[in-house]
Amino acid sequence: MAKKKFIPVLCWLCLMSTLSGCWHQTELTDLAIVSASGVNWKDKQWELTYQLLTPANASANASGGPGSGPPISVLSTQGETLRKAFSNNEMENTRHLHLGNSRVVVIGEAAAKYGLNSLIDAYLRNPQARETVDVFVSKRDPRLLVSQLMYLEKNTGEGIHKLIDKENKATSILPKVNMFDLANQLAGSSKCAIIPELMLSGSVETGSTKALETTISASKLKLGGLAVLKSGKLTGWLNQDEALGIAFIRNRVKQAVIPFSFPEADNENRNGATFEISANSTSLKMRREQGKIIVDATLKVEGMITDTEFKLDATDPGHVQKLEQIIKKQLLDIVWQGWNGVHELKADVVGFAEMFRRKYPKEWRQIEDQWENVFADIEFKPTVQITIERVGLTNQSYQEFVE
Amino acid sequence: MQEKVSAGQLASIIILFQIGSSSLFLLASDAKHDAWISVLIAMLMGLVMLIFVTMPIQAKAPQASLIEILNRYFGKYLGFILGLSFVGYFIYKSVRNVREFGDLVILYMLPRSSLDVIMLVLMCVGAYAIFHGLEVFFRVGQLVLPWLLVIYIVLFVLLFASDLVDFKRLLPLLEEGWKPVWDAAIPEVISFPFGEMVVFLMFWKHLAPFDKFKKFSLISYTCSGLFIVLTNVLIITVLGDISGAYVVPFMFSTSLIQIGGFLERMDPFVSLLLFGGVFFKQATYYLAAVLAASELFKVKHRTMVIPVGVAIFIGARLFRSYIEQIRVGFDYNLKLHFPIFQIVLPIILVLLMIITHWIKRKRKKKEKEKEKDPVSNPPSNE
Amino acid sequence: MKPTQESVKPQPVPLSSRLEDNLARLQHSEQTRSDIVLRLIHDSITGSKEFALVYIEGLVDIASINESLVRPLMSAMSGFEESTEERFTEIRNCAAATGPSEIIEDIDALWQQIMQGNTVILAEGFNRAISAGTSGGEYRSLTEPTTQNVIRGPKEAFTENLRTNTSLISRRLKSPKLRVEDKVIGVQTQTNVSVVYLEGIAEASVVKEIHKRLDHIDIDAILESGYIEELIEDAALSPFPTIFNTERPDVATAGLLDGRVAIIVDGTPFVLLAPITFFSFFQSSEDYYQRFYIASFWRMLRFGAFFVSLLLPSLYIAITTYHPEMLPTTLLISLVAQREGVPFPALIEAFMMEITFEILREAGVRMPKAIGAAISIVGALVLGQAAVEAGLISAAMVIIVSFTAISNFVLPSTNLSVTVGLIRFLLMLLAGGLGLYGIMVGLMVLCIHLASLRSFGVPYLMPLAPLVWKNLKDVFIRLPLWKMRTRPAGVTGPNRIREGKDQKPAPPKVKSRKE
Repeated sequence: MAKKKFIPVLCWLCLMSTLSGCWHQTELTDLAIVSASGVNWKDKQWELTYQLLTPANASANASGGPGSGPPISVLSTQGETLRKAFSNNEMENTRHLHLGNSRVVVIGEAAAKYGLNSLIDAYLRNPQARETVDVFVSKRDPRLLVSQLMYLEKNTGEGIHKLIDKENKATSILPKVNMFDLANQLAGSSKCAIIPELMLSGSVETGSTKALETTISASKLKLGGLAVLKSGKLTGWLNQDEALGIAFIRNRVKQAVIPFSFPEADNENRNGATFEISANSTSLKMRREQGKIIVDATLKVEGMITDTEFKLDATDPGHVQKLEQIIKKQLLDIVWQGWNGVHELKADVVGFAEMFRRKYPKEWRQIEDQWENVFADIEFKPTVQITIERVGLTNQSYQEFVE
Repeated sequence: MQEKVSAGQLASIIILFQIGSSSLFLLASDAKHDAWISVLIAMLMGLVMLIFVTMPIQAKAPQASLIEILNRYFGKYLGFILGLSFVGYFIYKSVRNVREFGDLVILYMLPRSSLDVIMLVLMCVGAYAIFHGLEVFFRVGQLVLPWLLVIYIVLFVLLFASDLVDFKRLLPLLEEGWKPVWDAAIPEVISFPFGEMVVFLMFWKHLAPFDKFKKFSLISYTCSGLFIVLTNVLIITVLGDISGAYVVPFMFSTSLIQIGGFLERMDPFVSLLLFGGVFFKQATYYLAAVLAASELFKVKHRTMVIPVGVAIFIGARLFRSYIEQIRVGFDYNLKLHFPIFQIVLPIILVLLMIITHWIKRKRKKKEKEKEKDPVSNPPSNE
Repeated sequence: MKPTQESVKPQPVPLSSRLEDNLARLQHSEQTRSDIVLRLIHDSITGSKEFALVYIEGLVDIASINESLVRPLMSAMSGFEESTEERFTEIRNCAAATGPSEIIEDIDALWQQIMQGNTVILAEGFNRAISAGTSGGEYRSLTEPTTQNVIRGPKEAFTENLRTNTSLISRRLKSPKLRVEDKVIGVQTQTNVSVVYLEGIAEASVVKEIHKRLDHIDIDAILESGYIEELIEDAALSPFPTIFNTERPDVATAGLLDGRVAIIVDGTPFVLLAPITFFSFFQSSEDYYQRFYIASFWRMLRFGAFFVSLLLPSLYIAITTYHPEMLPTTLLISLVAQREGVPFPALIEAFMMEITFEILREAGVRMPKAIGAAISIVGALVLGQAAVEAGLISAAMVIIVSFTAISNFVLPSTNLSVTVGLIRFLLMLLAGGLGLYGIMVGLMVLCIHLASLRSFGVPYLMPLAPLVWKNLKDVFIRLPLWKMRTRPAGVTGPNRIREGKDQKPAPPKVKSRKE
């Protein structure tokens, strides 16, 4: 019967193919795990910096105990194209670069000015690279940033990822931008994008384990402001206040901490207080009046007062109303700062182009190419509605009892 | 003894066959974010084809396979030639699936393996299934379908849970009017995947309660069609306008899932879907080709398993590159070649059948009338 | 059927009417068999030999021979003269006092009777002999089952004695529909085999098919039910068992009530059940004795464990060697750190450990109980800990292998778990060669293979493919008993209904007190 012959043949074929496949596998110990990478443009060449994890030192408790060396090492390569630079690592690296677990890409200012389209293309084309890596731009050489060690985190790439993740949830100033978001923003209607800035504070020194022997390190990784990109190229920077304003307009604020001063406080020097936003929703409405585009932004903010320097009686409705007015003003101010920032750069990173396109698809095709100028003429009208939900565990300020 | 399949098994194979790999791709990507409308149109057109052409063929010739029908209505020689060309069509369809699958596995899973090995292994599994015959193959379909659906549902839930879906990306509807939408739908999307139901003319006769074939085919076709539309909508809502740029957009959109710091990189599950879908699609065509060839040459189906398999494997190797395969497929086959087998020939066949049945009925009526009362109205036959 | 000249069955030799001749034949073989006892009874007057009792010592109940056979025979002897038919009838009556008796006409039947533990009475002047049912002797008494243990449920197991086993079933199943049909299989061993089923509940065609296949067996020995299983199963080349075996009478009875047929073989406590499906191997009798939530949870646990024991090592190999990006970074780093000094590729490492484990398991089964404890010490300490510390294998691999092994033991049926072990090795090879793609290919082939199997006409993957909604009540979950109204469709014969309609218990409705 044919069946009897068929099954052994099939098994044989499977085993044969298995053997032929065996040559293509990569053992774990042949991998150099990249946790973060830096991209820069230097002397008309791409410079790639890879932060490699040293498994024995980076793992929590491997057999034999943690080693004494640093948990990361850094490798830099150059080349005319990105992939050429990548492949140049074969000249000095004994292991296969594994990008699959990379968390962070830091782009140097020079590279960002040169243009990021080829970088994005390389990421989307290459199946091993993760499109979910967080993207940062840095004014300093990314090589220095990538070679930093962090307190509490052995894996710096993972640490930076945690940093932006936590920041995004707790203060909402900087957005979390990954490679896919970046690609999507730049390919969107406005061709503009924002990327958070990663900076290095303090005196510059490359990472050494000695740095971790002190309790205050000389240099430290920090999040900065926002980099604004237009058509794949860096066009300007925004500071953190402006960044928060943009976050409000883009409706990305989950929690934020707003300090403000209360002019009617009895002591003029001590009139500071803090308002912590616990929920926010921004609704944008676009309309056209006499050829002018007007955008109404309505912020609905909820939050609580978390500290005061002056006497505050939360049981007095008049008092609370006054406070609300002040905070409203403060918030409007922040929103305006953000708007002015993007307005000056003529970079539509707030998604108005997309709104316009969805609302007036026919007109969109006529002004598509000169959106930059149309954007500059947009009239922006923000309003804020605020609710102070709670004032913490005390109804009256501690100051009242002290006096 | 004729092999029998149940209605549930037929429905599962139709669903698996229709979904195949097509839910992973953005069909009609020329229409950008309106692609899903194109898909919906194509699906409805396919439904019309199914109701008015493909199923009537089977209904008019119950218990007969496509080869037998061709033989009956086109005569011995023309029928043989047409049957042979359908065998070629089935083989070619299978070839395209095998090749596409091989290339995708290399792209996504085994970048350094040889294409031949991957395709050979797939062919072996297909041959093993076909070897056991129609009944076992359909049973495997019924076994695998729930798993595939469960994986799809889990992925959908994860996409929603990680906040990637934004329905605003579907707006503005019909940005550039109906034309690009219409152009993208016809004939490409009708050809792939919605016009492919022709292949079931080889299988319908095996359904155990035969009279149910219409109902179950319609239900399963509509469900799978809507499912494809749904995945297309999801792809667009996750990826936006650039979704057309990706080879396998669904794979890409799932690779964006990030939940709780450990639920990441879902792409292997998508390749599981890809494997399941493509396997059933290629094996369905493979089985159809084997059955058709064995009926044409009047041999047992098992003797045709290896020749047809070898033909498919060699055919899949003939494409020079993935790019060529895609170009040939989308520029020539979908527009020129496939419609012949999926639309033109079936329409001719169904018209022929209607005419012959009409003539036969008339003849019978005449005979009956003659038999009934030859006396009352003998002369008036004009 | 094979031609008869190849058959090992000899031609029958008729008995002689002279007692001397018959005795001579027997005595000839008595020289080589010391356990055959010949007892002669002489006529007190003539002194001639009148009767002979033949039996095998150890197989018979000596007391009943002495009390109920020899004594009545002696007293009956004098009452008749010569070899008349009345005398023969009188002897038959005597024989009937101890148990069922039969008339024997040839020497082979005589041997067969004494081998069964019966006593054969030969009398002068008759070319027929009479057998008396005196079988008895020493047997292992009922004990707890050694496999398929339960926490709650009956604690008795089948024994090596066929009749004890049938009695264990019929004690549980007092239905008049219970059918026990005997067969003798094995030319040399002459093993008694009983086919047990419930008429109307078992499918008649299946019973017929089982009889047909049993009758077709032509072999010299049946020493265990495994022989029968291997000779009648559907898929002889498949690694998957298509016949279930059990040591537990309650499982066998439940099987009969589902419409299955039990085949009981003398000399082994393992009873065969057929037809079955793949999912029978996931059911334990205790599932029906515990609350259905618990039982359903156990079921799912078993399916989970099945997949773990099938796939875990191969997934580990595939992911670490082909798709490391699937692992969370922290896990990846610690795996790399562990493997840093290991000299072997992951595939070889996994193979070594799996084979080591299989050897340990095999040794544990075969070793005398007294030194069994040594296995665990050697296995756990020497091989596990020391190998990791020496850097020969990584700790992760030890975890994988041990978890796989433990999952394997969760399956209630040992023969499926051994099969799973075999397939695991194949999947590991495929994973080493083709990564996740290889595993998918392997699983697909497995699915096709399982879908192509049948057990006595019942598709192996029955409630799933072909899909039978009604049967799903007892596959992945167990519905409460009052929901399981019907027996499994496709297995059962005409009698489908298991219980009455409203069997769901509820407290009696109390009328409101205000009335």
